[in-house]
Amino acid sequence: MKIRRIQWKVLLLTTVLMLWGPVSAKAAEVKFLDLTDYTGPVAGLALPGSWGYEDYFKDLNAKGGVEGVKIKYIGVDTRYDVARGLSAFKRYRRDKDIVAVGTVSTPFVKMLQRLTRKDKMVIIVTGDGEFQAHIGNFFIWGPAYQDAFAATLDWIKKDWTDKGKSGSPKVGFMSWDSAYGREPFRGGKEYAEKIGVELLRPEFFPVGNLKFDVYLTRLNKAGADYVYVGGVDPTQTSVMRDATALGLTKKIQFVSDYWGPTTLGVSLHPEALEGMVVVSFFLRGEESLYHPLLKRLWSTYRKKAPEEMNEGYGIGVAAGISFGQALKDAIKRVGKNKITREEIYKSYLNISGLGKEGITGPCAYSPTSRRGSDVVKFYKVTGGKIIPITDWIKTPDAVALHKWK
Amino acid sequence: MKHNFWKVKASILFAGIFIVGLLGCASLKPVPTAELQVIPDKTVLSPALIKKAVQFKGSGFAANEMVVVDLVPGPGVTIKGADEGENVGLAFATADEKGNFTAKMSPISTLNWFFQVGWTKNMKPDFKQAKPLKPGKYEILATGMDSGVIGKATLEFLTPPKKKK
Repeated sequence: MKIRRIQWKVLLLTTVLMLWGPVSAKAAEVKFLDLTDYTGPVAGLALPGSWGYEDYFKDLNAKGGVEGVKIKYIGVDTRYDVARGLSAFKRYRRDKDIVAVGTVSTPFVKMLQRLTRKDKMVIIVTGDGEFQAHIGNFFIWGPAYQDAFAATLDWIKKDWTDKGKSGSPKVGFMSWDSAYGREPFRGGKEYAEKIGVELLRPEFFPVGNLKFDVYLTRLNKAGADYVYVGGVDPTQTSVMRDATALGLTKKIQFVSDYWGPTTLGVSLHPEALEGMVVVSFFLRGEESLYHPLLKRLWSTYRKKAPEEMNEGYGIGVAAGISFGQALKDAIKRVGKNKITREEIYKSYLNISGLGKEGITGPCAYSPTSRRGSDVVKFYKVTGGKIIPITDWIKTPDAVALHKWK
Repeated sequence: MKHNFWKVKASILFAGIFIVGLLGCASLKPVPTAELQVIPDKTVLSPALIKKAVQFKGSGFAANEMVVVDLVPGPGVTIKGADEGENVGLAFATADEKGNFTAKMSPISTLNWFFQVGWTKNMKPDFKQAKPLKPGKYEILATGMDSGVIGKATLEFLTPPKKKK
């Protein structure tokens, strides 16, 4: 009888042990999946950012991980191809050790939205305000695109006044004819109306377009005083090349969105880019190249001189800092053996105010915010360098102005 | 006493095997199958496929689910940007109410996976770096992202005809 009781207890204990815990037995490691573009049309932007993630995690791991939990970085080259991204996501989706996903492609993320509606898995995305409008599991890198456009409209208004001009400036807009390219208008248009800035009819062009004379000529004829340029460089460099050739840079102030020229790009085309203003949520120019953490990580893991750094590297490092802190928070709350996607998601809502070493503004994630930060800086290409012309400026909430479906 | 000790030990072993078997059986359940058609299923790999793209039609998927179509690289086939042996996505679509779908490859997918081009900084395909897939048969899979249902078919790249002298 006693033996039978022992046998049943053993059976029960074994069952409990076999079914224990939602995570793998290897609780000393979590995985971060980066669905990015190592090659392809936007690799110039995406690849440095991915290096930033990878190197930051390597650095954390070299120091023993986060409370002893290491982060395995898994990078997948999606080549700006939605089908490839979905296929890769399908491959890794069921790996429970993957607790967060990084992405760069707006069209891919729109599809991911449909697949992960019910998932509590952190997916880090570039800048679509839609993810702030519809709070869920998608977390933006910084301020939304429309917030940055709104901040730029404020800067333009001030610049116009500082130049002693009266009335209201006319602002042109040109960008890729894509979901990303059109995103700033979803809230940005409403903000322009709110502050009394006249927005001209926007010009959208195909991704990969190389000549911009037609679009620039139309904007000039419409009386543009300022032109906001979207797209991923070398789009902006090509726009400025054509604008310079048309003599427009003397009368129109061009402002690039986040993905405009980097220090490397400016060094290749200094004359064409001279005078272009850049709005950015991450450090640019020498502020980035000689930032202590960025410089150390770049030289340690990429083994290159700081002057060879693409400033997009800082985006990945900053996002890595957020992930590391969320992991730390999750470990503190539930212990290192119970780290799940859901717990990481909960922790992302707990890291508001986290400093990211000044690479971007402080973290703004919270239960009501999916913005990675809510400040931008303005830079200007001057004498072949990207020089700051403002300090960090809080971005308006342009997302809230749009009527979202 | 010794006999009871062995009884206890046997119980532990039995319990472990029982539970592992339960968990293992769950993973051995057959995956439901669907139908898949590749159009054309035989073709010469040429730039004409960029404009007149390969299409996929399928049935037997869950209503309104997303379906992803993959190419399975055979032994020795290297796909740029993919791990060895990793399937690559060619197209995707949403199945209709009846579980049918139609998907067409985008120009980017055709350039990336059939021609395996490089890309210039100006986002133009660089055919000088292209490593097109070799003639032969390639397995194509369509997977329902919610149901896990799989449809299989084959796409054959024919050897280009020899140019007349």
